[in-house]
Amino acid sequence: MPEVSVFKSDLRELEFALFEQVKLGRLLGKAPFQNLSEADARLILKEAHTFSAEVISPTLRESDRAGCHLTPEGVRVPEALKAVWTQYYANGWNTLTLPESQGGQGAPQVLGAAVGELMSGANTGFYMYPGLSMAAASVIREIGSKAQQELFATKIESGASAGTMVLTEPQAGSDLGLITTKATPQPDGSYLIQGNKIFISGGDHDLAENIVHLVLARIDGASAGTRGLSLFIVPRRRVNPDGSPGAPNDVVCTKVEHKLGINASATCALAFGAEGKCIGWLVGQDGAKSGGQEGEGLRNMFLMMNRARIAVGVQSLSLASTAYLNALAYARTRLQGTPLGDRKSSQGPVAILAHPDVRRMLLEMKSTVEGCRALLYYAAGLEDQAAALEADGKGRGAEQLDYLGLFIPMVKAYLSDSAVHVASLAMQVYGGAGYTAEFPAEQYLRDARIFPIYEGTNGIQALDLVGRKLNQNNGALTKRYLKETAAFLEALKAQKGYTAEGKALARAVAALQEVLGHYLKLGMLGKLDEVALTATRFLEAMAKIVVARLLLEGALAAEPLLKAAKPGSADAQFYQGKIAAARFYARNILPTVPGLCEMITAEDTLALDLPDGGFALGG
Amino acid sequence: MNIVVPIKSVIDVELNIRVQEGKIAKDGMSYIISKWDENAIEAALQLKEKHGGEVTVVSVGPDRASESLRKALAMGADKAVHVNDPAAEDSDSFGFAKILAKVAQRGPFDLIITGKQAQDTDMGGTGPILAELLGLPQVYNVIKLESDEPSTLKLNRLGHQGQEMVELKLPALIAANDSLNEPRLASLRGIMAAKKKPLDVLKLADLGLSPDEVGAKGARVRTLEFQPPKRRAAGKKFEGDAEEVTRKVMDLLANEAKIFA
Ligand SMILES: Cc1cc2nc3c(=O)[nH]c(=O)nc-3n(C[C@H](O)[C@H](O)[C@H](O)COP(=O)(O)OP(=O)(O)OC[C@H]3O[C@@H](n4cnc5c(N)ncnc54)[C@H](O)[C@@H]3O)c2cc1C
Repeated sequence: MPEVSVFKSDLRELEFALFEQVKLGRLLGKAPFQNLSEADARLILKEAHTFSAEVISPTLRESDRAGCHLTPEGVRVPEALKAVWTQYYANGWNTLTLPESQGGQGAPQVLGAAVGELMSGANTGFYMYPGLSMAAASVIREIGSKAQQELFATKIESGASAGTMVLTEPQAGSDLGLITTKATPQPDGSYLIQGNKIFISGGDHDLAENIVHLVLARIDGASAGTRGLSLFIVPRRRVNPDGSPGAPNDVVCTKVEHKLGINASATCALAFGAEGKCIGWLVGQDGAKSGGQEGEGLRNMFLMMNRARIAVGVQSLSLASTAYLNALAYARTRLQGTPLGDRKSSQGPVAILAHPDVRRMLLEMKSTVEGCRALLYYAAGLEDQAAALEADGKGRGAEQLDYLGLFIPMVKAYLSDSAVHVASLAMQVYGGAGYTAEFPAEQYLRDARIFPIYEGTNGIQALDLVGRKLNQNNGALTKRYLKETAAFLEALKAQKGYTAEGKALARAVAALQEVLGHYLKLGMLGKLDEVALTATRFLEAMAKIVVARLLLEGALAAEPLLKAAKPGSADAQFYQGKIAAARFYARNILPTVPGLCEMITAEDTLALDLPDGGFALGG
Repeated sequence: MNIVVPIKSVIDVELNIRVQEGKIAKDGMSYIISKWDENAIEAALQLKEKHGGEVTVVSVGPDRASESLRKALAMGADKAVHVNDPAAEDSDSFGFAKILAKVAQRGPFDLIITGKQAQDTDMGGTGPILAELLGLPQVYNVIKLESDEPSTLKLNRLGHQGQEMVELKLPALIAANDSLNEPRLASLRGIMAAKKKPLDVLKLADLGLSPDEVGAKGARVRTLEFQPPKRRAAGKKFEGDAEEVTRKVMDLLANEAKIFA
């Protein structure tokens, strides 16, 4: 029996984020998004929601229980997912952001993010299959040869093939420089691939007739470390000249992990070339000619990783949002306790929504979710602005893309940490019921826990932010951000009723600037491990500033709309909610930033100085 | 086979519908195609896929009705007609039927498919009046539809006491029950393809209708006010020994609910 849909989303809120906050309307109807109007975008959102609720969501619980299984013929996914995969592609949902030249609709990335948000949280584990597939296809489109695009990308875009990204090895996780999988050149220009990979999402399954693996490997004789890595296309089955699947390509799944969550997604150990018959092609290489992409593996993989890191942001936001809305719905119906100061209430128990502490949790979830949405859409919107600038011939797109780079580690890390936090709060709102399988809260918490780990752990994201992005282009990205924020603070001063919020933001920004000065000093003294020690705190502090500003910008956009709405109407309550979420964030979450910054500048090096034995386990 | 499907854009009943001063509050509401109309669209699309021809969807309503029409186009309808005229607002079933009759008469058609009622008013009046105005035979509450040749439909309709099997020669009007089929979703490809399909926007004058024939002025039925439905009282849960519980429940059913009276 099909299950009922537990996925909840708030289209009104998504539309606000897209049209009032990011002002998507300004980009639509003009190159390169000339194909879409605002009305189209709204209809697309609505129907994406219907697809999600009616087709994907009913598989959530069932596919979690069923899990993926290794059989002699390969991995078998939960049966219910097959029809969803087929319908997803038949309905063309994967083509939303593809350019028209590739049979796509040429929609902006930010609309792609919103549609992703409407789909992913309905079944995070399922949505990874098409999500990773499209990421793989986009890399082949961007840097693959013409023949590779036709043989592989086209197949992935139609859903005939799936795609993966294959980096991790047992001894090479965060440090990809340790990768040992090797690639031996063959006379025909192809390579023999040999090595063992682990934890590969969608590494094997029976949703598509073939799987196109993008594999990081080291060409014989290439240098050690990340510089010696190249990126290869390695299909599960070899492909005939027409792209149809041929003989097996000596890629074997040796294990499917048992794990905490996302059980619908097959996490696979893969043996490439155990029998010496696994053939791969260097991405970008044309036939037997040397393609000049040797040693460009990691750079190419980063193309995919940037997209994939935004995709983790989408997963995180989507899950946090449905967790919050489910908790909210429960809080309206669960009767427990009497109103404070009315112990002998004759009314009987009230809905727990009436209790101050429950309201505190709900508003914390709401403002966190909306803040995450604002950050994600802002980041995705930068990519669209870049595309619009390029199409306009102004040629300043690259600048926007560099700027996007500053936000990517925050999108990945802050949104994923927030997803775990919100999912945990959601469970708390349910009380004991949330811990049981009666409600989806427990699955949300389990599914969310991977987000801070994969796609570069959040620790690695923090290092990326402080070690690379802050200083990139001589610190130009950071300077631009601070300058924009200073301008916003000035504008906020002119706004009535936002004194407390403005002060909180100004304090946080000042504290962050102090840290930047402190980091400069540490850098000159060569105390890099102190920077690394505090990187996670820095990322949290900066992300909270970024989010607070975006939420306040949203609140300012909501103010005139609130004034125009009829008091007490649903519209008025919606805008009140927007403004309250922004204020709550500024007053209850942002104030932790000066504390975080103080911890950084205090140069507390206890964790560095403690001898390893001091952590105990017997020295 | 050319088919006309009138559709109504109604408030999404999944949302919290509120009544203010005897009227349904419209702010913050989202609108959908009335569910039986979706079955009508699906039936029309299946007939078109079998016999060829065109499906035209028609809606009478304000601007927002165009979203429902575009969704119907995205599902696969070929053309849309939107009668968007303030004077048509607050029409009763009779008024809507008059407008729809004029739209249908703009071109040759073989079949009109409606939903068996609208999801907001549950009135079920428009379809039968439309059939009368056009002098068409009508079959209501259709739960099964077969058509081997384009001139005839074989229908099962759900009646009070069971099913009736009917053979119907076209032109005619039929009204769909929601068990007739499973309406398809609007796909992304469909939404984009719909952009290229014609969507005509008409005023009453374009149909040769005068404002006082329809709308509140021409209405024969007047809605006095809406009242929110009474909240259902909480259910009772009985626990304990099966025999004892059964006796207690029977007693309550007989003496309190008086269902055996
Ligand atoms: C469900 C699941 C799906 C996955 N899907 C894929 C996939 O599709 N493709 C793929 O290639 N991989 C995939 N992975 C692997 C994932 O990306 C890695 O697990 C992740 O990158 C971390 O590597 P690791 O597990 O080896 O941890 P380690 O690298 O051993 O890290 C352990 C801890 O040490 C920290 N650490 C390590 N190095 C440093 C450093 N230099 N500075 C500071 N801290 C450090 C980490 O932050 C972490 O806290 C998946 C993993 C899981 C569990």
